[in-house]
Amino acid sequence: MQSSYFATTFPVTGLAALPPPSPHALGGELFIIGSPKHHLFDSALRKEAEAVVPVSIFRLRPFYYVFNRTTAGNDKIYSKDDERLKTGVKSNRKGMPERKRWWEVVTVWTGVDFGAGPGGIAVREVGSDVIVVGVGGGKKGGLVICSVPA
Amino acid sequence: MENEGAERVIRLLVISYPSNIENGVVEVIDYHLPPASFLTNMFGIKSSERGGELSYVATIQSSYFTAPAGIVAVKDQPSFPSDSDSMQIPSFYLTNTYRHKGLRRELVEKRLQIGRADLVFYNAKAEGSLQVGFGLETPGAVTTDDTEEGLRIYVASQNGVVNLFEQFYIDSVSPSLAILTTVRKTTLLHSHTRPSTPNPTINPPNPQ
Repeated sequence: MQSSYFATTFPVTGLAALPPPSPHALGGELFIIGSPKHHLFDSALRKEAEAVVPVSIFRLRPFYYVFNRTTAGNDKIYSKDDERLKTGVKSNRKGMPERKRWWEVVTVWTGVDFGAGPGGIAVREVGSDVIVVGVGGGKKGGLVICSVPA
Repeated sequence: MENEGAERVIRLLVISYPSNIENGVVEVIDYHLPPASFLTNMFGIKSSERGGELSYVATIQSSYFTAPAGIVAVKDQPSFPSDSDSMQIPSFYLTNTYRHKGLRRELVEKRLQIGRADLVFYNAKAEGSLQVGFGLETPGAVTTDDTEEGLRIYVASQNGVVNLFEQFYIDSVSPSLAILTTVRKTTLLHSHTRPSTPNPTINPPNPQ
């Protein structure tokens, strides 16, 4: 059953996830890779050229939106109606969020010399760090390895 | 998945289009890990055994694999161990970029960009496939944060949307709900309809 979704402004070409921190957590952190200039990849393929395509890796952490209530865990509590939470709300004229799951986004890495088009991504928790491996495409076939705190 | 036997093997699931771009399959391939030691790491000495080699295991075909793009394996519901090496084929989730073929794909899914693609679960033990999510627009990458059972499946689409699918099991009910359930079951049985099963609830995507 589809329970949630979020939208980006670019095609997400790679996904990877960490195990949830606890059995009853909302879920594990999600890492995505994609390019806001993905059309450059398409045009480069058609022209058989190697374009400079900016690629980004984002880290997303799920949390519950909880309004004016004290809870435990990784929930975020807002004491007032947050304007940010009114965005992206469908079929609700009052602007109150219909969903509970939200995502906190952090940019892990951004580069331009990565090959024409991002490919996949893999993550693994090693000790107190998270190793992120992103694979590019095209003739350059870039490879990026990042280490971020868990 | 990795076999803890004498020879370390990683079983890979690879999406392949061996004959043409219309017929995608899933190839099961074993990667035999080279024995890790100081010498092999330092000087790149290859093992004389099958270390570092790939070996073909099986090909999985299904009418549900209309345009496979992304795949993620889970440990739940693996196949029965094979007689030769006691290895198992894992169950997996697979995304299809398109559902239809031919003119319907070109017109409906590509030209009009109406989401018709789906997410499919392949049960290796039952050797059957099941559509668990549909109405998606050109999905590609798929992953899970629960490799044991696949409780949460994330599916990325080329239009920038990342969908989350969650499994819901009903394993206990309150006494009042149990009474209602009993009545409902009785009614259903009397009406000669199929009784409910403990399988995960499969519902159409929430348009939220």
